[in-house]
Parts: sequence; structure tokens; C-alpha cells
Amino acid sequence: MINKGVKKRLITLNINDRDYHVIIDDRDTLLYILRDKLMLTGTKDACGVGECGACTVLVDGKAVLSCLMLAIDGQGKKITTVEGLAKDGKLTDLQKAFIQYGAIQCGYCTSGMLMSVVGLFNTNPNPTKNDIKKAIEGNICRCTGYNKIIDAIEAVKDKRLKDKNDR
Amino acid sequence: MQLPHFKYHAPRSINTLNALIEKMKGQAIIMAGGTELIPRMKMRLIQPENLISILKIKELEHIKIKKDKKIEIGATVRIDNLVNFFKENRPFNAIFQAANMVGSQQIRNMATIGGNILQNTRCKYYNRTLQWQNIMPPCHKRGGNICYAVKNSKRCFAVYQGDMAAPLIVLNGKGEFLFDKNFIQKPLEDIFTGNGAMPFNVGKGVLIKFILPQPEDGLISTYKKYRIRDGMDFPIAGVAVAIKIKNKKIDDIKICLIGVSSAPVVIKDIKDFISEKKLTDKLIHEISEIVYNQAHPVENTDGDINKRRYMIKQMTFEAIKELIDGYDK
Amino acid sequence: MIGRRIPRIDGPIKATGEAKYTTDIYLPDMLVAKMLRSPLPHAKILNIDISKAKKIPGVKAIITGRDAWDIRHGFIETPRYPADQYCLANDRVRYIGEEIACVAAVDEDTAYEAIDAIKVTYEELPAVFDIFEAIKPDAPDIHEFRLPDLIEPFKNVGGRCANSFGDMEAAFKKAYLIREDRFETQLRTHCYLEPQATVAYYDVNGKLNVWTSSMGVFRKRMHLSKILHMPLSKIRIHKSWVGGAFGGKIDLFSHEFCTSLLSIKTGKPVKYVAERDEIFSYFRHGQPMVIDLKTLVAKDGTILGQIVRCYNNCGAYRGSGVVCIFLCWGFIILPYRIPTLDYIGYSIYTNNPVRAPQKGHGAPQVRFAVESQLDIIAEELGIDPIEIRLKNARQKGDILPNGDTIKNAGLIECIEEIEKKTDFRKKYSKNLKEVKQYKNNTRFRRGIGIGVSSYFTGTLIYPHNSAAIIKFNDDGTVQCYTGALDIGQGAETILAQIIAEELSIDIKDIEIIAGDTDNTPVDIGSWISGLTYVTGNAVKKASEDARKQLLSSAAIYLNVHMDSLDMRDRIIFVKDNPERSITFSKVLENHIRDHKGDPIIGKGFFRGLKDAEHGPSLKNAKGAWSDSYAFDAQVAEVEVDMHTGKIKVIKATTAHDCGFPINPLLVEGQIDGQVSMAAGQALSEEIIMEKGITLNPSFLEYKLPIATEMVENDYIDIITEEYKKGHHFHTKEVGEGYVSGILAAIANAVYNATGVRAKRLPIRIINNLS
Repeated sequence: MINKGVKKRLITLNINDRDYHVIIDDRDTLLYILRDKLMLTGTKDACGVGECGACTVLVDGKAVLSCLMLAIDGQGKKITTVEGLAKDGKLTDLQKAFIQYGAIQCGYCTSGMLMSVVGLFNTNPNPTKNDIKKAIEGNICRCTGYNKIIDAIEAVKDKRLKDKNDR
Repeated sequence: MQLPHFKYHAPRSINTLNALIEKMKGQAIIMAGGTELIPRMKMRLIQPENLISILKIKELEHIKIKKDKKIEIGATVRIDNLVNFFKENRPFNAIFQAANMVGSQQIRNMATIGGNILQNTRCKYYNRTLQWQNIMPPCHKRGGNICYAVKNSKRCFAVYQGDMAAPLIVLNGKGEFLFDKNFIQKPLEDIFTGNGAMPFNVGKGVLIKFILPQPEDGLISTYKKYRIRDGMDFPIAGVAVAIKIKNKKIDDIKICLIGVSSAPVVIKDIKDFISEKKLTDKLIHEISEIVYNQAHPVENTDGDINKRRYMIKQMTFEAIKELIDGYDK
Repeated sequence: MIGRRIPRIDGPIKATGEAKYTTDIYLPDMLVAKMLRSPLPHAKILNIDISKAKKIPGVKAIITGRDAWDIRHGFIETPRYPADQYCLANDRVRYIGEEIACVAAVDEDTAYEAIDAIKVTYEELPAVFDIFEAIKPDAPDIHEFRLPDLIEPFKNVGGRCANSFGDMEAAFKKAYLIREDRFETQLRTHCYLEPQATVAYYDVNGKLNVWTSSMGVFRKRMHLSKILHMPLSKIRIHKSWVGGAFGGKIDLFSHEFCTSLLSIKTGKPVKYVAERDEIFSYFRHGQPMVIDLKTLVAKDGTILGQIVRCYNNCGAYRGSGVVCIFLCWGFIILPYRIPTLDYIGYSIYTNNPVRAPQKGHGAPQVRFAVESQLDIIAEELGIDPIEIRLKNARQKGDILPNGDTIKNAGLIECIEEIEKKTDFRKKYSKNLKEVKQYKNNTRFRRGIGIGVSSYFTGTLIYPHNSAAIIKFNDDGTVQCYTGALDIGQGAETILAQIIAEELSIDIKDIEIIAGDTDNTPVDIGSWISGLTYVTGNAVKKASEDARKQLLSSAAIYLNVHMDSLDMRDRIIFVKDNPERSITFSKVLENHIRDHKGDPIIGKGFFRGLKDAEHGPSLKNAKGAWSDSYAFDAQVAEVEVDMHTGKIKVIKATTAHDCGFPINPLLVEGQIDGQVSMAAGQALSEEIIMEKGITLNPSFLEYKLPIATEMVENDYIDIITEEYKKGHHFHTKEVGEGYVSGILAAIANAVYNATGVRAKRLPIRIINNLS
């Protein structure tokens, strides 16, 4: 199979506000490029067929599954991975809440879960508990039973709404 | 798991798409959101030489309300956009309901209406990786002549589970296809073959958009979905109902099932049955019974078949009851 | 620091994606390994032809059973139960998916191409999948092995555990009611999110470096050393974070052996990551069981005796099946007083994939049966479920039939408190009445149910002990070396809290260096529910040792007796006169100067069952089992939609006696996860197999709970054990005891709501829909 005459392409992907020039095969998924080529291993590969949410990243602010997206389709888009959340070494309120509320156990779902929640807040700053559950219905977590994850998300929502009203 | 190799094309207009298809001479597969196609490609159930992404064709990604009040939905409109567009839209509530229950949020963000409608039929003996496929000789859908779901069957019973088909069909949606530079509109229920192995009869036609007729007065609709978990899962039984109410009577009714057959099941003889009858719970029960008798799921997806069939009856009752009870409110 | 809700110390690296799991290990020039698996459930291997595969460019090495010497491995290896499984099938395969060959190639495509090019010739043998078919005299023999002491005319018995005590004849005479039921639990699986993965790199010095997603590094090293014929010193298991295990990653797996051997053969790093459908289809799941349960009770509900037969479908190799049938005995004699018992557990070979422990390991199966039947009995006797449980509950000071003493037990309090908090009796009898009189025509019916369980706190199985080392940096900050492996439960956080408490320092001043066989002392691992107890005590003793050394040294410099000293925030001071003080840093500097360069190093070790030579007998359940036992009572409140059969767990309440909760936040996290797993087992999860083939090998089709199925939890702490500085302490089990009571509680609650008694899991309400 190697050197089967597959033509390579050079593409540019904007990931976490940085341009990466990568040589890809047409068939490469975004997940494969992130992990195997760019060593951005925060994004996890746990099923490969879009059924667990561990590989969730943001593309133009929306939560998508990087295992089901071709890298080549990421051109010209703004891609954000878990590595792009903290700024200047400071964790976001969401990351801090996940830690504080016990929303992280083994941590393998955490990156994808966080990205789904960021995607939710991008479109809905005031989600109900049901909205929250719906936003993470595609993110499997076997450790926490989701309880503390939802606690953390609700806490962030309340804090953000309060801060906004206080301003 | 990596995908098989293919050559990627991304035309930016329908014209270039057309040219590409001609050039490929059928050796290409068209992909939109990819949520259904990519897993099947990873499983090596299809290994196309060429893959044409239609996501860059701008004219396919809009929803428009035309001057004649018809609604046009481009083939690559994302499911999530449908959720937002049809929110609190009474006649088209079924579309909102169905879209809102497709897959997960990530899937709704990626998947398109065209892809949802043209998703392949599924079967627990078919949607499997190569390794698994080595264990069992190929079934009808994999080019063999065995059916594991229905023993001794000469045909494939793979189940159609595209949520969006049911509401679009009951709302008399049409699909516009591009056949060799000609645009042809077909009622959506006509694009299915009923054969699990080859579920669509659109040939080389490329799905461009959907057209929903202007809603008539008194039109209401809803969609009910049965799945094991309250999220993520495919429908293992689904019912869409559209009713036109006139003078407190059902003037027209259309019911479509999915998840119980290799194609959406449009319920027959229902309009004649109810004509001029009084709207009672008994009548709704009778309608549900008619629907139940036209649902024939087989053991090829989650859940128990008797339960799936029972749920068709139950959901039909609930759907109609809900629509009628809610009408005056 | 102890007893506080400290956020886990590995939070930041996990929240930023920095934490490296085995799947995240990429080494230069690394090869990809893929596995060839048997397509047949039972066959002789006549020939394996790798000649074509070898010639494919990019293929670096291929190994088959011939390369694997003639060594077998097993979850346990004893004279009674010798190891029975090869790492790569030798001359025979016994289940679909059994590993036959492994390829290392430059990339995934090439590896798969080579797998496809290997030609295996088989002679198919008859296969058997059902336990009751497998024990019949005309069933095919899956192994040549025969248990020497087997008295039953059963075939394919891989293990048997029998234990009886008391006067059964007398019990029968006294019995007011005898109840006999069969309960069945389904095949379920762990669903750890991180796939099974291993990276092995045999370096130029002849050292085998291994990163593997596991539950304990020392156990893996022991297995690898044995199977690879390599000295322990030549194998190093490195630490990597583990993305969940739940029992499913403790055994030795074929891919761990294969990547190691392939790296030895190629001199390059080799990585194997299992595909998700491989995990669902061919890796180890939990243990499906049939339990025949006969219970004899007095009129007042006192249990007089039980006759129990457990039939465990252990798959094609012994796996942990024989341990499971021992544990089932254990979960019968706990949490109730059973004065008379006749117990036999069978572990039966079938041509299915092998089984492993899964959270609870026998307890969910047994508790589902016993708790369900207890409710049936209570109803027949006209007693409420609370009363019958209080009547039979074990109490402090009880001596178990094997001689273990229940040192403390909060079971009575658990049951009483949970009754109060959930208003159990009132709700229960109201629902029951409504169901009985068919007065409840409402679509949504509520039900409440209780389940009780108990779990052991560690036992003896290799490696039997844990040790820890505390060392100081010049500034007085601490590094702790421990072999513990944090698999998500928060092991490192708990250990840091214990050190912080003992040395009265901030948790930020502690670094945990963990889970590396070369760099840390031995550890029992994150399994058999013993880590916090065994490793926790080892770390505590190491901290005490360091503390004592610091104080005795400081006493010299402060010119006081060490008993008059205390410490806080890396400063040692005189209790009566805190102004008189000296920093850790200064003490360390002085100590090194005055003791010929001796830095202060604290050392600690611990072993549960310190007087026992070995763990309990798997044959007759005799011998010490555990130092202490945790207890719990759990209540489920469900709502059943009588039109659709959908069961929703509205609320779960857990009253637990887990000894001293070192970190209540983490305790709650453990309970949440277990309640969720139990709800999945009760309502939706099942691996569906047809003649050895898995029909739902995906997260989409294996219905584990997703966020929309979340169960609200409430917790009641019953603290029976104080934490005492300077004494070794009984934290008790918290990691897997709470998956069982709630499972039974859900089944009982469904009965309470609908009158439908589940004898098989998952619970289905199909025929009773209104």
C-alpha cells in the first residue's frame, strides 16, 4: 500500500489562531492530522466513527467531530482544539469549573466535552439543563455519570450571566 | 481507523459539479456532511475512487422562502440550521421535531438535510468493519446472496432510518435532482426503491434542493421518534403526521413511518377511512391500528421488533391526539 | 486536608489536553501493529502462511504462536487453576477474535494489507456458546483440562468454588417460607473511553520500555517478564494517564505481548491501539451469570439459610471467571447474616470471548438476585423491605464464616438514614397498594426500591503490597514516589491529601511521582478495591516517618523535646511558643550537615491481611479475605411510562459507610459513575451475541447511558471510622461497591411501580404495557 502513487497536497489549517502548513493525503481526517501530524493530542480518538464525541473540536465556533471531517475541508476555517482554550497559560472559567466541580475523572472525554460546551455557549449563553444535556448527548463519559459535568456547566452559566448583569 | 484513499474534488458551482460528474463516468461519490458516508468508508463498505464534496457550492446551503411562499431548502443546509429555522413553526413543526432529534449536537452541526435523506439503509449485519465482514460471508447488501436478518430471504431488509424523510414526505416535499444538466423534481416518496440493498432510484441524479409547498390553512404536523436512549440514537421507529383541519374535522391527513422498513412507509387508505368521521379517541385508535398494520419491522437494528411495531401504534395515537388537542390552543 | 473537597491535582493537565495517555505516545520511527484474529469460534489451526505478507514493502515483522514459546498466561495461575491461554493462538482457536498473528508495519494501511495476506488453514470444530449446553455430556471439549475434584457430570467446567456451613436440615425444619428463583444477568462491558493501547520500545541497551493503558504497572511487568522470558529488571512500564478501566485493563492482553516482541524483533517502537469494534467484539467483558437462589426464612423474615448455585459463562479461557465465582460467595455472606449456606459456583468454558472483572465483579449479579428475592419474600411475609433488611443486616463484631471480623459496619445506620431521607416506607406502601388494586390508571407510575450491598477492601493477590518514599527538595517541598496508577478515580489526589495532612503542608507543595516500575516502589495497583487503603497507608507511614525525622532533628536545633513541636506550612515550631521555629529547609540543611550527608527520606509500606500467608482459597472460600468491609444502602426512585415501557431513574440515593471519606468530592464522583453504570445495566446495556459474534459492537448500539439518561444523585455519609493522625486507618472501599445495591434497587423500584418483577437484566416491560 505504501507509495501507491497517492498524490499529496500542501494545505494550510488555522488551528488555535496559528497557521499550520501540512502535507496531507486527501483521505486524511482532521483528527488524524491533529494527532498524528501536529501532535495536538489533546483531541482524543476513541471510536473513529462519530459515536463518542472524544474528538470534538470547534470549526468556526461550532462543535464538530474531527474523526468525520476531512482535513482538506478544514481549509479557510477557524479550528479550535482543547489546546486553544487556555490563553497565556490561564485556564478559562469553564476549565476551572470542570476541575473545581469534579467534572473530570479519567479525563479522556474531557477535551471533547469542553469543546461541546464551548460550542453550546457560543450559540446559547443561557441554556437550560435540558439544553446542556442535549449539547453533550454525543459526548460519552463513563466515569462521572455526567452529574458533576452538568453541575460545572451550570455554574459557569450562572457566573457568566451574573457577571454580565453586574457590568 | 483511516479512510481508504480517494481523490478529493470540491467544485464551487453546480456547473463544475456537473462537469466533474460527467468526467468521472460514475466513478465518484458525492459527499456533503460526511457523517454517514465516512463511517461506511472507514468500514470499507464503499471505497470510491473519487469523492466529490459539495460543501463549497454556495447555492446549496441556503433556505429560502420564495415569493409563492414555497420553501426551498438547499441540499447542504445543516440539520442544526433546520432546527433554528423551523423552531416555533406550527405547520412545519414535524421538521423541527425530527431535526432536533437527529444524532448528537455535533452530528446536527455537520450533517446536511440532503445527506440525511440520502443516507444508506442500515443493518446490524451490514454496518460492520472489514474484520467483522471476514467472519461472515457477504449478505445481499455486500454483494452476496444471504440475509442474516431475515433467514432465507432473497432480498435485503436493511432499514431506512433517515429522520428527516418522514416529515418532508408528509408535508408533500419534493426533491430537485440534477440529471445530466436537467433539473427534475420528484415527490420525495418516489425516490425510494424499498430494496434495502439499493435504496434509492435516483440513478446518477444529484440532489440539489427540497421544495416544500406553501402550507395550507389548518396544516399542522408533528414527528415522534422511538429510540432506546433519549438522544444520539437512530430511530428504530418513527412517525410523522400532517393533518389539515377544516371546520373542526380532519380534512386531510398524511402519515409516514421510518425505521421500520427499507424505505419510508406512506400509510395507505387513511384519508378515505377518516373522511367526514367525528374526531374521537376511538377514531384515533382506529387510525393507529391501520398504521400498525402497515408497519413490518424486522430484527436488524436496536430493540425488539414487537416493541418497535407497538411503538408505531402508540406514537401514531399520541401524535394525532397531540395535534388535535393542541389545535385550538 | 483530609475529609475536604479538594479538586483533583491532575485537573489542569486533563482540562488542557496536556495529559499524555498511552494513545498519545508517539515515538520517532514508530511502527503500527495490527492483529489477525480468528474468524471461527472453535477450530484447529493447521497452517499459518505468512510468506506473502512478509514480502509486502513496509512490513517489518510478523509474529505468530510459533514465536510465542510455549508459555501460557492466566488472570490467576495456581496449581488448581494453571494458566490456560496463549498470547497468540498455538494450534487451536477457541473464540471468534482470538489473536493469531500480529504485524508491525510502517503504517496502518500496510499493516492491514499484511493481515489480509496471511493465510490460515483451519479445521473447524464444533462450538458451544451457552453454559447449559456446554456442561452437557455430548458438548464439545473446549479444553483438555479437568477439575480433579469435580463431582458433577458436567463438561467444560473451568472452575468450581464450593462452601457450606451450618445445619441445613435444621434450617429446613425451622423455615416458615422457602423461596426459589432463577435470576440472570446479561453480558455487559466496561466502555472505558480510552481504547486498549500499548507502545513498546526495546532500546539499544536491551531494555523494554512499555506504555500501556492499564490498572497497575507492577502486575503488567510481572506478566510480561514471565511471558517474554525476560528479567524484571529489563522491563520498564512507564507511567501514562489512563482513560478509564473499570476492571477491563488488569489482565495481560495479547497486544501487550505482541508489541513487546515486535519491538524486540525490529528494534523500533511499536504501537497498537485497538479499534472500538474490536474492543466490543473480542476484548474482555464482564461476566454474565445465572443464579439459582433458594432462601429459607423464618416468619419474622430472619434468613435461616440459603442454597445458591452460580453458573458463570467465563468464555473460552478461564480469565477472572474463577475469581468471580469465589467473589459471588463473598457477596452472599455479606451484607446479611447467613447462618446456613450451601454454595457452589461454576465457571464454565464456552466459545465466547474471555471475561474480566468489571466494577463489582460478581456483586451486581448476586445483589440483583438476593435483593430482588428478599423483596419478594418480604411481600409474601407482609414485612416491609426496610424491616427485613434491618433484621438480617451485618453488624460490627460479626465474624464471617471464613474467620474475618467485621471491624466496623454502618449498615444499620445506612438503612435507617436512607429510609428517613427518602421517606421510603410511605412511598413504597402507597405505590404497592395502587399497583395491587389496579387503581393507578395514570400513564406514568412511580416506584421506589432499595438495595443493600457490601464490598471488601483489598485482598492478597500479586503484588500484595504497596510502598512509598517521601523525599524533600532543599526548600522543604515534597516529592512522593508511589507505584500507584491513577486510572481516573483520583489516586494521586488522595495520596497528596494524606501527605499534606501528615506533614501539615499545602497540597501545592507536593509532587506525586507515580506508576513507573523503574522509578517508584511497588504498588498493588488500582484494582481489587484496595488502593486507598493499602497505598494510602503506605504513603501515610512514609509521611509519618519523614515527619518523625524532621521533628527529631528540629528538636535538636530548637533545643526542646520533639513532643513539644508541631509543624505547619513547612515550618516546625514549639507548640507553646510558635515564635521559636525553624523551616523545613533549614532543618534539612542542618541534618545533611550533621549526619554525614543524610537527607531526610521517609519510607513506608503496607500490606492488607498482614497475618495471612496468602489470599482466600478459590476452591472452598476458606481463609482470610479482607481487612475491612464497606457497606451501603441505596434507594432508587423510578418513573415508568406504561404506554411505552420506558423506565427512567428519577433519583438515586446512596447511604454509604466507606470508612473515612478522605475526599468527599471524589467519593461522590465514584458514586455518580457507579449509579450511572448500574442504571445502564438495569435498563439498557447488553452485549448481544449470536454464535460468538457480537452484533452491537459500538457506542451507538451498546446502549450505555448518555447525558440525557443522567440520574440525579443524593448522598448520605455514614462515617464509622475516624481518621487519626499517627494510626493506620480504615478507609474502606468506595470504587465498586455502589454499582450493586442501586442495580437491585432499580429492579425493586420497577416492581413497586408496575408489579413487574425482573428476573433477567436489562429490565424489559414489553408484555405488560397498558
